[in-house]
Amino acid sequence: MTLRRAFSFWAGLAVAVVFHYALYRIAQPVTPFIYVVF
Amino acid sequence: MKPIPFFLGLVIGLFSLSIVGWSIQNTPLAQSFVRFHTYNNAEAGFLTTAAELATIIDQQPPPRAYIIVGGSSVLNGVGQSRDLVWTRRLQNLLGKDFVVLNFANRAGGPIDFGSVAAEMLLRQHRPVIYVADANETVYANNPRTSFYRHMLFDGWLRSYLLPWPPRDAYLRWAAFDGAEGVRNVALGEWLNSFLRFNELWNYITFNFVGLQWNNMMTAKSFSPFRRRSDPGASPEVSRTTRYTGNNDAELATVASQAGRPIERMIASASLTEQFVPLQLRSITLVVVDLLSPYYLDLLPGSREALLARATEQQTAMQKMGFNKVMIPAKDFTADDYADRVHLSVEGGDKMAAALAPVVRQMASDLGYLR
Repeated sequence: MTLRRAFSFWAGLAVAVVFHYALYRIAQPVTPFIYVVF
Repeated sequence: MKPIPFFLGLVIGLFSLSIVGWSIQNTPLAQSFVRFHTYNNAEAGFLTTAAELATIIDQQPPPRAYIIVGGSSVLNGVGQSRDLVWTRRLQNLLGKDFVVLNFANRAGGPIDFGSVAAEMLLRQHRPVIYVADANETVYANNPRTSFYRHMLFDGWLRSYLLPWPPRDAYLRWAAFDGAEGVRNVALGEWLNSFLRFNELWNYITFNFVGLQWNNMMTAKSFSPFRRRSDPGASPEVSRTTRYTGNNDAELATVASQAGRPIERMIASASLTEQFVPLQLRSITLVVVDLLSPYYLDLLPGSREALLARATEQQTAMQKMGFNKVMIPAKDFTADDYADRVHLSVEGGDKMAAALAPVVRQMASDLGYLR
């Protein structure tokens, strides 16, 4: 029982890391940077 | 799977990561900083945060005045290598009383990185002069088309920006803007203001492991960004490769730019009114860029037309309350340019020499040298 709880807790932590990183990635530009001058 | 421990782990994890993001300072980026280039900026998918700009500023010994350079690739120093970039020359000319920081960007504009840094310093009552560039019709670039609009939102949400009602109203309602790109950035930066994912993962990307995968990174995935050096070409390479592009295409661009209508300047002026606070204008030195005489001389009348429009721009901007507006490239030759718009090392040196006394005079007038 304790092992299952610990596993669930660590799974939650892992999802938090992935979610936090996913937010960072989503914030990156989807369209490529195209060099333009004005 | 037990739901309560799972969600407990999720919440504790997000909270802990956010705390780290809130407290982290990207000091290695600040210590190695000379300018933004292909591999530490939006082109490589690395979106510098306002906190990183603040760290770069705070790493400098306190001067009598900060000279923040913002704007486009011309002031970024494209065409000059890292060691010979014009802002280093300006720093040498101004001496230790001043700290010159080059926050201009390739395809950047005067209302992104540089203005956020300058406004932050103004808000903190620290002595600052902002140097930014315009072309003959445009100063403020539209956030809808800017590659660096995230900085505007980041700076605003961090309270780095000066209060300026027309801009504040735009930023407040940008999450409902018609342009999807603006909506996404507004929402993303709002989320980031709580969770600080950009600060944390930028730090990891810069210092430990590259987490960007795009066309530019194909050969360099996973290597930290601190190992990616500024690819600015040496003066020898710049000299041998300049003016070797498609001449017809360049001439067409020059002809189009020299013939731009006055309406474009008027439209741009309304953006400037909306996005540039009066207090920022009062400490801003604007450089109006021109084009290389190499091309202008091939198109009779274009030089005069461009200079006439640049002079109109100069007058209009001075009326809008900018401290000083200059056209330092008036007498530059083809050798002073690395291509159609960017300056060579020689041109950069000339610009630094033209700006240094003006900056010093502004600093004196603003009371920074007392």
